[in-house]
Amino acid sequence: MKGCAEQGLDITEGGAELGLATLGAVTFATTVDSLLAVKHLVFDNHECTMEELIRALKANWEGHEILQAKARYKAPKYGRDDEADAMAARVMELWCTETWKYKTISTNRQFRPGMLSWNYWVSDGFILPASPDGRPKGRFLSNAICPSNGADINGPTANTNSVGKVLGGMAADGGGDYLGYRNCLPNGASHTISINPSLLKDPEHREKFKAFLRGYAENGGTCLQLNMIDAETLKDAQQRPEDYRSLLVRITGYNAYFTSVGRELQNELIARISHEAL
Amino acid sequence: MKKEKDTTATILRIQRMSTEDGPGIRSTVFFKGCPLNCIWCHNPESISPGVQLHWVGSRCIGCLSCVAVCPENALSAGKNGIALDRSACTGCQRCLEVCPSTAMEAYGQSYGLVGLVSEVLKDRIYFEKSGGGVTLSGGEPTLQAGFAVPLLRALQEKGVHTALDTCGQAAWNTLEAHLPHADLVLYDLKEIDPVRHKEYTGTTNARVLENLVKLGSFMRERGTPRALWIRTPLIPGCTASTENLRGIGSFIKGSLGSLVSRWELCSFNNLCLHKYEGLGMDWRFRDAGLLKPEEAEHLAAAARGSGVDARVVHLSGPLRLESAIDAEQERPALSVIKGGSA
Repeated sequence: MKGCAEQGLDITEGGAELGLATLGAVTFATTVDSLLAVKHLVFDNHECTMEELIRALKANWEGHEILQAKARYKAPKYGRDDEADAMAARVMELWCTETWKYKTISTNRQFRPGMLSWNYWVSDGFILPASPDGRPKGRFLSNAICPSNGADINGPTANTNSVGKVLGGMAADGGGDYLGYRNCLPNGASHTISINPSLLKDPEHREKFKAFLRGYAENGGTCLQLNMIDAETLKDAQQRPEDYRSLLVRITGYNAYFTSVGRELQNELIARISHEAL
Repeated sequence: MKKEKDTTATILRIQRMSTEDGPGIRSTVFFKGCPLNCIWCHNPESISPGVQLHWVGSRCIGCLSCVAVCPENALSAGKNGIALDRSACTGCQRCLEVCPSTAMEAYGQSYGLVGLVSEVLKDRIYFEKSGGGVTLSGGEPTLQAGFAVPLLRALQEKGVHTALDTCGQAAWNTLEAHLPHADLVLYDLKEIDPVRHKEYTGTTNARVLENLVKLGSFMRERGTPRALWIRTPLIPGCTASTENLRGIGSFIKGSLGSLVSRWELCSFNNLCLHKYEGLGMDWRFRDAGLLKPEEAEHLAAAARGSGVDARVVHLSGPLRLESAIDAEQERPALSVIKGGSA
């Protein structure tokens, strides 16, 4: 630890030259989508007043299902590579700027922003009350830097483009933190995405998959965790279709959303994916 | 040409990160409207050129707002969900506006050229990394040539790889207008026998074959499009016969030769049943099973042995599984919420 000996202070006393502390945020997309929903429902479309929205949230949306559906399905969402990402960038900027203003009182270490959310995004969903994005209490929050579950209806590239934008993208002034990129979250931002195993079915598709990862990095992505869609995912999608709106079935010359094909055929797809498991 | 900015088209959807419509990662633009009416069509919502409404049960919360708002009383709630009387529907889309959960949805949306170009360019980085680009598919893009041609040109001018996926049923002049701006053509050759072609698609294959020969000459003379893929759907009881594949193979060999760098055999899939149901259409292949792996392999072998370069033959699509499926409990098609408006 450089600096401790020179100053005669150990790390707990703030002697280290690089004295940093993490401030990790949870609920990024839940926050952004909630702000977007308030804007959409109350201000832009006058679907309800702020008082009515608050009443619905206090009731955990019970008895307010129509308003909840509008919040969930009609309000814009982060993760679709469209105008809504501007709200996400605004929240990011605000939160990061605020974080950089503070140091720890005890050892004068600089707070740095990060978004990893560990598993809090699951457990805290049972603690935090209903949110304006249509989420009732007891439903998972958004994970780390990811769009809310099922919100990324324009597919994986739109998802990664949105995430790349809020992470900072290329610096407008040509400067940036690394190779011209800004990095709003130097303490890390994990990004999980679900990939259909058919993308790895043969060498030709594996090349496409590799290219997707290169494009992700080029867009300013910093950390991608890949989940393969499996039978369990699809069974879960049968139970909770609203969380899986973006799940796509793609076959040459044909496409459909998993949640919209009939139950019998969904079962067949589940059997197929089990059969083709890697 | 000055007014290009104002050109619009009816587009079914834009599929980003498509890995099945040509080389690399692509954005596929599905045009609405098709001159053929194939009895097995996997995208029946793409056949009609107009906008069509349908109900997505998995999103419906059962508020019945749509039923209440419809000025024509064309919507009703029954045990199979929300039913639409298409003879009464005027397409006013009030039900779409009022539906809180996007369960009422439109097949087809109007796009301007400038907006569509900027939409597909969002994935440019992935096109570049993968050797991909943009594919015009459908439906049949050449039916909206006034939009499709300037779209291909605009993309090419921006250095994006372009592909045209066509059924070949178009006036030659119309098809020809696309060719200087398409790097790749995906051309459907479904059935070699003209009588059966008419039975399956509503028209004989005379023009499809004639245009394909002309396309070959165009490619030889002009050096563009640079690549040609042939696509044949393997439909049980229809096109999935060794006789048909041998016939198509010998046509490819005789008329196109090495111009064809890929011949895709796309095996039948039954996942579109819900689309037929949603459109209130019956589907003859409702109970048709998927091809067995050995059947598909037998057909692929016939294609490889038909005189074409065997390496160009590719088999894709789902094949039948023998394993049992543990069925999940079916959810009711529609459960009406308390306080529903009808």
